[in-house]
Amino acid sequence: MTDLDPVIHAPARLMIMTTLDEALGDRDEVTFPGLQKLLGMTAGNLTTHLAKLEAAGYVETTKAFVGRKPTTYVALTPEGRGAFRRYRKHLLQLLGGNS
Amino acid sequence: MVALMREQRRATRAQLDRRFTILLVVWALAWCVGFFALWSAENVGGNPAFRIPEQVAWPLFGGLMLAGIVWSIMTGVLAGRDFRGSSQLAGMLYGWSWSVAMTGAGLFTFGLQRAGLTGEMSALLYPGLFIILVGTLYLTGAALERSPGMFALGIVMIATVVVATWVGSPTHYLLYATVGPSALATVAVLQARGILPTVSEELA
Repeated sequence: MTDLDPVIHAPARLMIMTTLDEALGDRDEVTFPGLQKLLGMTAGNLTTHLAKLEAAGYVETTKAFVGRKPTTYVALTPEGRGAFRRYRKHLLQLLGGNS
Repeated sequence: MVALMREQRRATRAQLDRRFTILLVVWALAWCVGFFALWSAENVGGNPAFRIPEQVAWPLFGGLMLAGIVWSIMTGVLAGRDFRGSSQLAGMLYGWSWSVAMTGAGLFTFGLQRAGLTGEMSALLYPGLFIILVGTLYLTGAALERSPGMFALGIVMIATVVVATWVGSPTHYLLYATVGPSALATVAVLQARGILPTVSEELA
């Protein structure tokens, strides 16, 4: 288990990565409130975990204006998707199951 | 952790599909009531139990189809609200492909009517043409969303048109009132329960 990616191997961050992988195609972005709704997390908790994932280069956040309203968009980077798929494969190999 | 991933994937998919599941139920009801009204209409229908005036059946059918179209547009707009990127563009183009195809089919049948299409033939052609298009667009949507369930729905729609047209008027209205809505409701239930097979990228 020690070889599993420690950035992803935390329940909250695994939930975020799973959701982003499921909800977003390549070059897609979701708004911060939209992601929060999908995860059912508090804004503070989500911000903290997104910062860790962003520091690892797994997600990217972009600030933009929708009309006059500032909005934060979250995207899964190609490195992030690759890391998540490797993590999932590795975990399944260790447990001998599938998801 | 595997259970957490599986549950999160299921929950995410269910949330993303919720509006579309409701849309399937809306269309199932619209088809069921609309086509049943046509099957029960005086002159054009075949219901042995009772009949309703054509002046009621046709506006009811048209109104339900219109309500379904408005609901579909709203669903598309609301579903894309929190997202941007290439999938949103694909979704928008897919939405427009429905409008273009249905408008084209409407104008095509209008042209046929001007050329002297008989009432009996138009009773078979109109629903058949539009439902063939619905089936084809479901097949396209399935390819876009990698959704075997939607693909199966497209096949059922096209097969229903073939069988209903062979059976002929007015029984075809009864088939459209029962088989189509049953297929739509089945997919809606499977989707809502999260047991509809999806093609995982990992497995693909």
